[in-house]
Amino acid sequence: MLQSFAWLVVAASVCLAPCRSQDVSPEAQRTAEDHFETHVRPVLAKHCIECHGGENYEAGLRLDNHDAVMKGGDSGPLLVAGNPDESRLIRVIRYDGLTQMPPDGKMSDDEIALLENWIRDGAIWPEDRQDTSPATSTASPAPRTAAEWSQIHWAFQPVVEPQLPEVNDQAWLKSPLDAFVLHKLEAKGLSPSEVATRRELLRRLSFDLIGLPPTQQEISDFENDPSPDAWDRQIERLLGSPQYGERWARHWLDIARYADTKGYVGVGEGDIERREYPFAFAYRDWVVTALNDDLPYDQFIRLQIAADKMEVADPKSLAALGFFRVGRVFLGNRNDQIDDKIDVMSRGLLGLTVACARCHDHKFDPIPTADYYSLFGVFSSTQEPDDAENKRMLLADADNPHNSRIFKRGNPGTQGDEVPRRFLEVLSQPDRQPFTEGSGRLELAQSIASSQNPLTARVMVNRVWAHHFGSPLVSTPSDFGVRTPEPVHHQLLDHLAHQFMQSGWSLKELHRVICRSNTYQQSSRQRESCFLVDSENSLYWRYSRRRLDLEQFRDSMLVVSGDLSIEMGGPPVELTTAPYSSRRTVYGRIDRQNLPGMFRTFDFANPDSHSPGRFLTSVPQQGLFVFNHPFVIERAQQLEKDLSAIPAENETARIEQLFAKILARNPQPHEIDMARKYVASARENSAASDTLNAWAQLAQALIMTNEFMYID
Amino acid sequence: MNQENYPSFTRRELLRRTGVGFGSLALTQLMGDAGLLSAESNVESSLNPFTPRAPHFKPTAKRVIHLFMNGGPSQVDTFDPKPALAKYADMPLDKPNLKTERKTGSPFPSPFEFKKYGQSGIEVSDLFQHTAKHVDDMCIIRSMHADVPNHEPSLLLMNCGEARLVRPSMGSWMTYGLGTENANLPGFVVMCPGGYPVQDSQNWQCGFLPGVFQGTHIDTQHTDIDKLIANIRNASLSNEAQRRQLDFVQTMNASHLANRQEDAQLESRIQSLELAYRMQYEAAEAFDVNREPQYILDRYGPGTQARQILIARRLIERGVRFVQVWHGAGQPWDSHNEIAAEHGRLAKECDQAIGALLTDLKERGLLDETLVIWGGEFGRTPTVEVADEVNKGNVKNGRDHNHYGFTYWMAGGGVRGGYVHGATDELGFQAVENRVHVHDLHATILKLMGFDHEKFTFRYAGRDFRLTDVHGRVVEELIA
Repeated sequence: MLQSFAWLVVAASVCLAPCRSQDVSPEAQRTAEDHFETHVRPVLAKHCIECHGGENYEAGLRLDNHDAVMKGGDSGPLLVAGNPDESRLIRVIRYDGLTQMPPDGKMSDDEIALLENWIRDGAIWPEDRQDTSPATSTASPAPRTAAEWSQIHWAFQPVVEPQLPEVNDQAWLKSPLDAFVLHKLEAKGLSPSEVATRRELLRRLSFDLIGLPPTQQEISDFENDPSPDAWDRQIERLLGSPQYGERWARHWLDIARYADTKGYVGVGEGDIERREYPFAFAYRDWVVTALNDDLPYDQFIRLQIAADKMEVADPKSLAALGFFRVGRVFLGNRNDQIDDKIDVMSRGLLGLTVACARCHDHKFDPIPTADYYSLFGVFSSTQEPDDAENKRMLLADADNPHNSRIFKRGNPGTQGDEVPRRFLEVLSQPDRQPFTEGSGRLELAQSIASSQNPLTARVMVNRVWAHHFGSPLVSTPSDFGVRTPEPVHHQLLDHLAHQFMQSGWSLKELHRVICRSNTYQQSSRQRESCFLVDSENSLYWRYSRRRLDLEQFRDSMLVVSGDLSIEMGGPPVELTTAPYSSRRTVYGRIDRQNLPGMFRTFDFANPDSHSPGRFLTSVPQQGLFVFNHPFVIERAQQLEKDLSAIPAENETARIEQLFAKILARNPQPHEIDMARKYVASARENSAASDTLNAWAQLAQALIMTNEFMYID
Repeated sequence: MNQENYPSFTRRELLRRTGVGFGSLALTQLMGDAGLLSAESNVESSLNPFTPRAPHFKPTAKRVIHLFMNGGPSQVDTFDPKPALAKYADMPLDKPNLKTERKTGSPFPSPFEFKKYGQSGIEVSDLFQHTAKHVDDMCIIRSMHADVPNHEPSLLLMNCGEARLVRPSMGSWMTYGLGTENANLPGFVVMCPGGYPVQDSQNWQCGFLPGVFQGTHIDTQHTDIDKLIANIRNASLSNEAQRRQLDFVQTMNASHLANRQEDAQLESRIQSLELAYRMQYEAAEAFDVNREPQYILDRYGPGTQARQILIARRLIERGVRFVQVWHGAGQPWDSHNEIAAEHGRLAKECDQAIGALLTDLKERGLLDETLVIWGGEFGRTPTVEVADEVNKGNVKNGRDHNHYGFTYWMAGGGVRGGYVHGATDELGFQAVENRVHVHDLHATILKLMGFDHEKFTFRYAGRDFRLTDVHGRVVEELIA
């Protein structure tokens, strides 16, 4: 049977008090301490600590802290400093006498020699710090407590509305947001770009808000709309579309590491059912609906953590609890499952890497191990029933909510102190209280979804910004910890976060604020003068051109061939096998264990754990897909079939129709000419084996273009 | 655009500086942080994650073939002779058997004969008599050990350096760190006939690295190229028709690009379409062993193993960075029963081809730069498995899993040939001399590939991760 061996030790030992040895210089002492930490402790950790460490040590002997080692075990003293031959430790590891350690095999000669030399040199062992103190790196600034960090680190400060900065070009400002951007640009001697064309703007907005391209008609309507609120009405039209929820749900599902399967479940998995989460889709559908309804983000979070403990008007809201249920099962290992929940919650909602604290106090952030096990207690007091009748995955408090003990070095076999179920110290007031209502999940939810929490709103507006602009304001969207420096656009971030909370946590209002800004409406054109100063466009002097992601690409192909289904919700559909589904990609079945090649090739988020952001690559496998995948061929054939209403001799009209459907524009005269020549050549040189006729080939070619694949 | 006003605004600079999206940009930065980008390669890396890159120091191995005997081959029946097993046969051990997955009893002598091979005189059993002819090029580690006697965690430990959590596999690390020398083929190819091994694709997962670094799984039970690589062949157009089509696309792309001035990501996609076009022919060619002369086919012998091991050579020859060859779906080497027949059959399937591979690589001058690694996720007990409540009454003459001691061997790529490192105890149960943990093996392999395993990191979730996590030491004795 699978055993859980978790004894990550070395990383735990970083912060040291002075050594006890008195007759050595400070330098020599530090060198000796370093030697101990780098070489000696790892050997002890590797071979000894599993049995002789933590609280349940064997033979009365602990080899994981200074005092205990100096004291020795049931058989007496362990070490004679300076004399390895007289030291019991060395005798047993040499396998000299009756007692031979470690029992599962002698240490290597090198390791034995290392320990001998260490004792010969005086057995320098730095005193231990207390388990409860926060950790910092060895190259210390002085260690800081969580309380101190909460005063120092920018992301832990309360969100307050910053003062609007002064700018020279007042005329450019369309929203307060623009002032923050322009202020930084002007400080660098940069200027914003001109407004993009209406065609570019609508394509950008449409892909951003609903994940689909606009039709030629929609573009020309907008181009010909003289009213001053033309742009605002486009924003409202798209935010009001049910396809908005489908698009933005997928962004959330990346955060929630959504999949329809459990991951590896062991050998002999003949039956699909063992691998399947039959009701995962209910969670996905709930997210779509919640976003379409503009459910306030704080409530959106609370329901996902504790809907079962809230008074909900609509029982369908219980499906929100799927958030914690759609992770990997880790072969049924409960501790790993809880770790996954702590990780998705802390990185996903708070931008903190709490899971590091499973085995040791967080090396950088003020997250002590005790905090991890406070959260652990919440989840170990939670059961996971399914509501088969209503097809929902649920959570429910256990009958006997209980605190967890700390697992020393993450090892459940060596348990330390019990810690109360409560919120993270660094995000709490000094009078932090334990949770009292059942598992404590609702109190946890309230602590996160709170305007007092300095991270929740900041983290979310940063994610939304990144989806609109292609790059986030804080470059590590799921890590706002103390190693993440204050971002250049800290004030902009705080402005948006403050506005977000003021608006009642309305995501749609956040989209409005962003999309109405002049910053968002800039052209993506290259400008050398700005490029030389800020090549990465980190100050947003233009809009960043970018590739369609998997969902935008596949859905676009269905749109242009006229096949896209508007059906919403329901059980997942297989996307990569014939007959090819015409459903939106968000409804595709996500098998985290056997993720189809199409998903990987187009940089889909790894569904094994929370994903902070997708990579956007350009690899030849993407080309192979668009050349040869039968799904693409089918789209081309469908487009060709729709040409049949136009007489074959009217080639210009046919070319115009393909350009209109695929690229949403009229062809230029030289493009008509080029396309006619191509069609003629394709027809004349057609081989007997070619099953795609010349017009279908042209349709496929237009789908292959960069114009189709990139958003300006 | 008036370039004269911006003398430093060169094309190269543009390529280097142009933002290519959040993802690729972040990737380039991360590679830079890990010391993986020379100034020269930086230009290209921002465009293509597979561009060849230089590691920390000069490597002795540039490519890897990992022959994965999944299920766990028995060391005492292959590369670790234990005559004492015959001496103590059927006698109880003087101390309790080490705890493995199932109950085992008395020492069980190997049914296979060991002979000395080569100038080094290293003993190898008849099971690998063809492989053994290369023993003077092989570095045999008889003191491997892992953490637990179960397939799942041991497979993940061997492949990803971590038994339970999501971590990138060794092949993903290599392609992340080194790119690939042939952009017309995937950089990390995993061959496994008949489907997936235990733990499925997690064995070649990319973990938190970008998706493109995950191993590309090829089911080598197929011989048809269309089934071997997704979308590799165009079923509806001739080569000429497709070239004409691509020419039309690229003309459109060129004018699209001209209207937008220079943009590295648009150029990158133009290039990748060309690569995809070429890959259709290159990959079809690389996987087609029928293009080999008859004497080579004869040298490797018949069967699926021979075919996939020959494909491995063809891929390495074409610059693929990491090729992993699994014996088969599930756990073929897991001989709990009838080990004489089972191991006999399994070795017969691959021994000749492994010998041929080493001959072949040497003849072509590739062995110097190609690291060949052989082994499973663990070894097997020298004691016979006995019936208990788990394995009921079906057990006969087999061996249980054994992580306490097992054998790996490596050849080529700068390893010390004709050398045996470490030893198991008298019976071959546990490694006792010069023990080499899986993390140590990884550290050593990374060294051969030019990496300092403590510096080869990826920043993720607030921490710098390594293949060896917080463990591992380079075993210098294994290096020539």
